[in-house]
Amino acid sequence: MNLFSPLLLRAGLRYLMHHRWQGLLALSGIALGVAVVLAVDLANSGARAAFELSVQQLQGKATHRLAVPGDLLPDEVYINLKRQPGAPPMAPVVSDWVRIKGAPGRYQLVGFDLFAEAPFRGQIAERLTAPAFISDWLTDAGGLLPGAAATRALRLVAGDRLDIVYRDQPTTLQVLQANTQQDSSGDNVLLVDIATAKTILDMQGQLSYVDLILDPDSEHWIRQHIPPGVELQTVAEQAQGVTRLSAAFELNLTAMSLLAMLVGMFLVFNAMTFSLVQRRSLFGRLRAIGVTPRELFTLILLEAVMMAMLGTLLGMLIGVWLGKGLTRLVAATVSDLYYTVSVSALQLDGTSLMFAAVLGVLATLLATLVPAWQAARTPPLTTLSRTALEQAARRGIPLWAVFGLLLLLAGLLLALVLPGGVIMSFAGLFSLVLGAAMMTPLMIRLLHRLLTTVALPGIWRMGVRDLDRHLSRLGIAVAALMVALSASVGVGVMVESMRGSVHTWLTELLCADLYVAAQGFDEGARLPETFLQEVSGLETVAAISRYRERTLPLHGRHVELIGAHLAAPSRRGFALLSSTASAWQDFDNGAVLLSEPLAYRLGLVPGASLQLPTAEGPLNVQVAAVFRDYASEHGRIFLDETVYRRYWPDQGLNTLALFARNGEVASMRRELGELAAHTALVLTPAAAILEESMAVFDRTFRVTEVLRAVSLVVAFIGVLSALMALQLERGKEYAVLRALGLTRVQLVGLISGESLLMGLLAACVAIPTGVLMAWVLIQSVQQRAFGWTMPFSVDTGLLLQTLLVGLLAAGLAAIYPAWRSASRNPAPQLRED
Amino acid sequence: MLAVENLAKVYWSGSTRQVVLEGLTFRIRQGETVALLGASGSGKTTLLNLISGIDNPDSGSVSLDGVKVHALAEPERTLLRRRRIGFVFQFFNLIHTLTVGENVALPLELLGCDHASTQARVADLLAAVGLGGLEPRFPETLSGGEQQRAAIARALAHRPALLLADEPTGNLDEDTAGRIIELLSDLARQEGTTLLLVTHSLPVARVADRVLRLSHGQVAPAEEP
Amino acid sequence: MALREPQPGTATEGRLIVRKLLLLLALLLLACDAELPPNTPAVRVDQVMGAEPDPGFTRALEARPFRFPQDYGAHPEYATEWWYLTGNLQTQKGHRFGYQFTLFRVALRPGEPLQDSAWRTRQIYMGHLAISDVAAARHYSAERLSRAAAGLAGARATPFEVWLGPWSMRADSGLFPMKVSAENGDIGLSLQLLAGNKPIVLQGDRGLSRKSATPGNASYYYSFTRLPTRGELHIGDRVYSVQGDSWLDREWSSSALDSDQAGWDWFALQLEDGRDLMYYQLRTRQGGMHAFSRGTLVEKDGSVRTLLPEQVKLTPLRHWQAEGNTRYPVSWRLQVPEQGLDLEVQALLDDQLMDHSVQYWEGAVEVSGSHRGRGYLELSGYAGSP
Repeated sequence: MNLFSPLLLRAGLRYLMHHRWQGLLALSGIALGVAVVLAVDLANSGARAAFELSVQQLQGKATHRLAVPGDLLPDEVYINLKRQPGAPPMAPVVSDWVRIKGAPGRYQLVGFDLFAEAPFRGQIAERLTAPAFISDWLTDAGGLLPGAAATRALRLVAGDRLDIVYRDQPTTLQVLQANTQQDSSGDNVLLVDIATAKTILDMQGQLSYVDLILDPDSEHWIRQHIPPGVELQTVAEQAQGVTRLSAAFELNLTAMSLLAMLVGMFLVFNAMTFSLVQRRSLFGRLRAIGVTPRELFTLILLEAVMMAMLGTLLGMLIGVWLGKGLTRLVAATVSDLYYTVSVSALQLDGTSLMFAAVLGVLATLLATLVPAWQAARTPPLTTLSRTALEQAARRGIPLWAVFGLLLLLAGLLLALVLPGGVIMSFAGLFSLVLGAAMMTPLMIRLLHRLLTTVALPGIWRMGVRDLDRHLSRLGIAVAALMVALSASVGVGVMVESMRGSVHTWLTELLCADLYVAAQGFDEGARLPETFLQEVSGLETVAAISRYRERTLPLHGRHVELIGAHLAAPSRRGFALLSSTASAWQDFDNGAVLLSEPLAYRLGLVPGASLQLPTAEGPLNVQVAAVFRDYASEHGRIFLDETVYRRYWPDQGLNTLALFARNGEVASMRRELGELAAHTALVLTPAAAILEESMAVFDRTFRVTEVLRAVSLVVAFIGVLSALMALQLERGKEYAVLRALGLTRVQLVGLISGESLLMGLLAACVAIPTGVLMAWVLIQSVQQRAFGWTMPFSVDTGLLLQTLLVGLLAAGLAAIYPAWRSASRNPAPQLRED
Repeated sequence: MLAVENLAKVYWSGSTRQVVLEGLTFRIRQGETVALLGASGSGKTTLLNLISGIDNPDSGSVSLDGVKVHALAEPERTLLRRRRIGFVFQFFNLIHTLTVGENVALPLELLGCDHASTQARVADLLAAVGLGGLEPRFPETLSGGEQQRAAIARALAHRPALLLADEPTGNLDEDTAGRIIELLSDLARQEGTTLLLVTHSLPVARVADRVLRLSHGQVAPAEEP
Repeated sequence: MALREPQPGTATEGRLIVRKLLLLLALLLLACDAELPPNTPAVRVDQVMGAEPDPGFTRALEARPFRFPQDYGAHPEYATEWWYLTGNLQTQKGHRFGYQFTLFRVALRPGEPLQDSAWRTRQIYMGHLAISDVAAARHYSAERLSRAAAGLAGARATPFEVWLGPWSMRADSGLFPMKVSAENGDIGLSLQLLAGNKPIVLQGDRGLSRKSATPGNASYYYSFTRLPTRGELHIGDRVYSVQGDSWLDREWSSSALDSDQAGWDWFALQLEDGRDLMYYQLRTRQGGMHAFSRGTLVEKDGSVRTLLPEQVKLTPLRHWQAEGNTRYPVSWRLQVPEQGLDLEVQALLDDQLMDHSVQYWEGAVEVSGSHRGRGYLELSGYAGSP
């Protein structure tokens, strides 16, 4: 006997061809789901690959790194090691971020010693093959090899001059060779000889770090030969700090895309259920002539696999296209938040493609399992009426709802009660959404009961009844729409809550009248030493807060350490979440303020102690308070300036916050403006910083907006497909209505009304679900991923908007089916068998 | 060949008990054409469903060549239908998405016949029912009579031992009905297939070797027409 | 050799010695990614040594008085310079070794470097280290490069030191006793060289060694031909206590080879009768012997006799084929009839190829025939030739 019958398969596929709409909509469900997942994955991996490539290019084959935590490494350490017999391969690196005059973004100026590079960075060395340039590179003060990103952005060719700015100091470099490699994305490096870099970065006698290639023997050797204060780190440790940067961001996006996939699965489930229910009599006939349930099941799954493959293929094409746009958005966000990456071309990552393909096929099969199993159980020659089917489906509704409730509760338990990481939070979130979706039909029925008590004109009453009657099918479409809408609500509420919190936090924090910084607020920009005295001398200045910043490696991440002298008003700007009894006194005595994410991650509470790495060995500090902070997910530490300067005496001033005497803000600004006229200082009112920060915030969540829109489109297609299929099934019914004298307009009204009702009901269920999702996102996901908390606030406007979007989607979806039904000639349908 | 013993079937509709068949007993010999005459609602279709194992009796038994149909498990009953029984329905029940040729070929394919012999058999049968050359057409392009001819061809395709026909002409005009019923009985005889023909129409029953009358859940030999 | 075709283009190719050496550096970096097939010579000797000099470099135009200890150190106003040590050593049990340890100085550009950073320089150093383990028939070699800045590499006259990372030659006062140490992974040496009985030998015309008729195509060149040596060699985990004799060549120039010169065959032989023989044969591109080939015979008492090409007869006896089809004459007959010398010079190992940025053959040899002795043979300018 055959494993499956080609004829039967052909019958199934021809059915789908005949009911093209159903086939297409099922396909689009799969395709869109796959497309979104793939697009997000491509965007993430594109941005990640771009970043990793530039890190990798910089790290080369190094396994370890020598550095002084929080400080620079003296030249002698390297030179002494280099002159020792038995030293392993070592390469000194000098690097920091610079700006290019007339170009946005930051670039990494990296100085290498060509002669030490051979074992380390072959790729970079490859670019140095034009010998005529190397001599210039080594002996001139301005020889430069720009990375691909800079080459592209500034359209550089060999011989061009480039003005770079480091801490206010401009330097002109000459492009020796433009890097036109198409595939090296994310390369925002400006490569110069180490002597050039030391001069530009003012790092004479110092190195950023030394790269090493070590085996266990040579590692032992190095440990014995390095002076105290110098630390040997593995590159893995080093990279962790950087690559972890965007893990949480990526996870958020991935979760959003999986949500879209979930909506897509509902579509497939919907479409498959429809097409199978419609073919019940066919299956009955087949059963009568001797087709076994197992054969039928195999047949349906096979059909689903073919649909899945086609849909997945289609989805992958759309996904690649969508991914291009999304990659740019993600790269922009990553650049805003973390590090400058540029993505030249979409990286078609094999793993992403495989993942999307497998996911598409599996999700389709999963969505088909239940309907297929039901269809296979069709008794032979069934003449079961549609009503009987509906009744069977209705009997299942409470069971589904109970199961859904359990899933929902399990989800809440997983996300909010049980301990676990951010993955657990997302698992809980999905469980919650799935549970809510399964409860949707019952919700509809309850809402429907409510509606039937309202007196409606006859035709409308019919619409309301129809919806209830067709619950087994429409329920799924409504659930799909519900999932999309609730995701939109959930993410929307979360973003709004966060926006509000960030705004409040910034407003409180930025309480000074004016901020002064060198060259904007760049890392490493320093104020001239004399400036502080000049400012202090001004009559109009009431108080000054001073800030000195550096990054510090702490437990595998790079946290910001800020040595600050905080004036009283500045202190009031800190929202202390918890503190010791005399927090500010403790701070003055050398205790630190920890940002919430850092305290959460390290599990520190006020009164606990913390070890900070310094050039003179570890420094033990006490935690005075934990403050609300959204500036960095890695954490920030405030330390009193006096203590700070004891360990980092060379560190210049980065920022000043100035408070004017009463009512003298304007004159203070004027005075400062005059003072700053001959220096290259930037005076920024708090409002401007606030504005810029909020703009960055909004840019960050633009990706989220796109994903919200996409999942709504998927849901829209779900409603459309449900209505189309229903219209197909009820063609005869409509024909009878038309024959009985229902006008076209009335028929259109009936169909649209039903659809709008679906949208309304979906939104009604979606709003509480979405709010619950937002709660989980804020209380669980945000905290576990980033370590910060925020007050939960629900904007009614957003909820109303969701309601409208639901109605709009349903209304739009009804247009074509209604038009088609109304414009059809009822006669032939009346005499169909 | 077919032995029906004491067959009883009761349907419940709410709390109302409706006896459809009660102690039904009859036998049909190999190659015999038997017409089962009965009014609408007399339980004809129920009987056919019980004989083919689609439905279960409340008591009694059906034996096909000595095999008790209801002693078999569901999958075996399905295979029994596939191998030994052919169906002709009132509503032709052709599969719309398969061509006429494919409809006839389907039972053979389910039995795993090879392509060449299947094609030959399909061509022979369609020629025999007067549809030669119409293999690539879809059922909906055929008239009612032609569709039923195709259905007969499909029912005989796998040379079933027993052919069950349920009001095969109920949906056709009188002239066509007459021709179809003759075709059916002729072919059944040619193929040596036992034919159980269920109808409410006396003229249709005329082609049978023997006529049984079903009423009040009992079967009785009918007087010669 | 006579069949060798002229090299089209090579004579007129990009001329600056520095540029060529930089090409070599770039290729070296490339090679670490294994993108070049192994044993591909990066650069030919004639390209390095025979380039048109930058006019900013001082040229060796006429004989000059040498001044010591200054002239033990570097001469950065010249384009290239080297401290070249070779020697034959043996353990007490007679286990024989050859060694070569050379530090090259190359100036990228003439003149003073920018003063912006201690790491800025125009001088780079290249080191070659090789040990031939005769009994095991193995030849080990290594190369090192560095900028001559920030203390990473450099040269100093008093107290004498030339160093390249951990590789160094140094003395507490004067030049001898000289401490030499170098290692690279599997191999290393740590030797002490004594002055011995032989005085300094000024090669050519009072130390001006002219390589062609073109003025300035010359080097300043002095040698110490027999330096009693003892110390340790290590190969892998094994350490050998050794002694023997070394030979030091000091040479600096801004341009040495003429455009029609392809390379040289250089002999440094220490005979058992106490005489030392240095002879280099400059080869023309046509495969002939160049008229500026020269040699010196140092008597046991240190007196020096110049050897002109017409006094010397050199015949290659056997060739060894390196990978890449380059054939090196590793066995020679060297005759100086006037001095009663009829020597057979044979490589102790065929494969003593220095296959690094510059490919050449440099190896320990055994002398037999009319006189017995030991020495070193250098064959350059063969790689890349048909």
